[in-house]
Amino acid sequence: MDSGKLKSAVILILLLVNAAFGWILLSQRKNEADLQAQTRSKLVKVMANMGVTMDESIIPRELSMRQYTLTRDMSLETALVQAFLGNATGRDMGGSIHYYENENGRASFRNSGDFEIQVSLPGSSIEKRLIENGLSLARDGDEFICLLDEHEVYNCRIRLSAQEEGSYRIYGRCLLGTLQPGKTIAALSAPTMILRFRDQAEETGRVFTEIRSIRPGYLLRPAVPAAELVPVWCIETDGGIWYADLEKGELLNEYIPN
Amino acid sequence: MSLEKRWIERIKSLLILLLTVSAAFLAWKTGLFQRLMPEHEYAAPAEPTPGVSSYQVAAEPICAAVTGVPGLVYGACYDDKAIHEVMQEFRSVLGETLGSASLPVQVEESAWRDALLEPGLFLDYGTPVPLNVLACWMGTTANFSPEQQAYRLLFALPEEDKVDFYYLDEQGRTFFCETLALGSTLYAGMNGFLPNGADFAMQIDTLQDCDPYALILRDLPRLFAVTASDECSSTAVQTAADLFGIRLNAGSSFQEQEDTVYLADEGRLRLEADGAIRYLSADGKDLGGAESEEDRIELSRSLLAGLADVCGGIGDLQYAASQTDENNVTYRFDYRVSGIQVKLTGGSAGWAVFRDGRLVELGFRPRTYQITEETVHRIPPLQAAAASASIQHGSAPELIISDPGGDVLLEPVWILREGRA
Repeated sequence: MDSGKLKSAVILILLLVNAAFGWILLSQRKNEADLQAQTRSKLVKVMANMGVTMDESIIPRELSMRQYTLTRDMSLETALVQAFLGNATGRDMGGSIHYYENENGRASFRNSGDFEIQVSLPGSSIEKRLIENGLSLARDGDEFICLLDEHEVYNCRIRLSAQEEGSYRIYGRCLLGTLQPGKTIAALSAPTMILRFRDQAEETGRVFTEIRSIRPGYLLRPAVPAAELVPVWCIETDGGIWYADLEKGELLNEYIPN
Repeated sequence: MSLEKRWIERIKSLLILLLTVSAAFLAWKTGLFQRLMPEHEYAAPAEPTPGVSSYQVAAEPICAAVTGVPGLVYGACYDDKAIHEVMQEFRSVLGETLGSASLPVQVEESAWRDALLEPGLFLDYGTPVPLNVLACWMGTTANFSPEQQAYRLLFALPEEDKVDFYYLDEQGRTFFCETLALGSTLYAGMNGFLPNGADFAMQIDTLQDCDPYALILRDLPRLFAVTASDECSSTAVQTAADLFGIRLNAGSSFQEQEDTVYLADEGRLRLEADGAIRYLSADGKDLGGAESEEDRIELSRSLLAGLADVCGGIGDLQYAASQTDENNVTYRFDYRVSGIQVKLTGGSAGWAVFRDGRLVELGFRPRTYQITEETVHRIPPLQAAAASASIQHGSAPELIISDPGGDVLLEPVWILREGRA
């Protein structure tokens, strides 16, 4: 057989193989979509029978997120101080609390990620200075929320408060340090997570009747020697906001009552 | 071959390549062959930086209480998982509190008593722990004097955004320190700990004769019997010999009463009749970096942990006490099983003696504990507290496991603990 015919035969076989895999893939996707749609509508009914209402559209899709650790980095702190206060001498106040002060204002940073800067500056320049110093932020009303891989870090918020004579107090918790990526974890399937959440929430004795939103994000868990960024589901209910571990769906201690 | 034919052949080759790549991609997307592929490796977490952060926690509290709303207490005792959760949540802010604390000032007991009823975090270590050592366990350093040791600690939240630190020492004296820690950080962690009916004895009318600051749980956690054995003895002896570079051959050993002693250049290893392994060095072994108390406790913990690891099981060696005589300082460690202290009849489970920063003795009683499925029922803490107060005024009940040695089945039992108030 000449090579031309042989190549034509190979092309034909490859076309068939591609078509077969394409067909398998499409049917897999369709089955998954059908199954998910069924599961989601059943889940809404099951939850309704348990006295909890929720909209089908808030049930999250499959998701994977990366874990991180955050190690405190003094050089990033001093860079932020430089950006707001200029040259300022730092002092260790004990307990890993670092304090900076000069004629332009003062600042303090803590192991937990909490910080505070008091400075006379135009309010409009504050966000720019924070972002220029490596903080990834999104506006949330009057506050900024820290972002990691475009997900919100729910307990890392920066607030601004206008003080007397044009000075501002910038305070809250931020991700100022060296991020070390860990393993990527797949989220527990949404129906399992929601049912598990409902059971665990019931055990705490706290009451809710509606789940308003379920969003992925991170929680910063201050720890020694490095803080952990734990991937979580943020579950907003009419009774309060809960956080569940993304991988196992276990409720975490953080809870914000309404 | 004509030019046109050559081009057709080239296009066919390219098409074969594209179709092969496409087939491989589709095959991967279907997931049919994923089992054949190696798992993705991820970056290992960062190594802890040397220095303060290298101190590991040598003891967790025996009881912890979180008071979010005055009078409503979440309590955890005899439950290592629950206590670990509390400590994990607050360790960072406690480090800030201890590290930034002012010099302690002795205050009236009423100040401690009032603060105990307000929102805050209470920790009972059941033994005096040097505050500098506690600070290291919380990931920071502090400037307390070595005599400043806390038996019970209270991190109270006054109305301003700060944390007031109180502690009770072994003599029952109460001390107060101002701190630079933020009350809001401590308070933020409290929402997750719902009141579970625990109370301090002073809050319970019927327990006025009890140790007022004993934490009384409403219900005990589920308790199980445990088995104990010294099956790991020979492995522990070999590990201890390796640790100190001693060769276990008959030529270097002799009998002293019922004990076997192995000799080496720097010291000797004594295997005692009751199963204890004791390394002794008359001149002291210089292991480096044992100048401060926190260094010596960390060194003792790491040496003993290396020996305890070979025993496996669920026993966890925890710092239990220190004792200073003329030239020597001794650090003692006991086992804890599921958060319950084990009292070995023969003495401590582990101990290390230092003289001038050199290790002169290291002792270890190898034991392997395993949990059974046998549930143990004990009278509720409230009844136990009432009983203990009627036997000895000012005492409190404590659940322990008493281990006489050998192969035994053990159950937690209530004992009296003398009050410190």
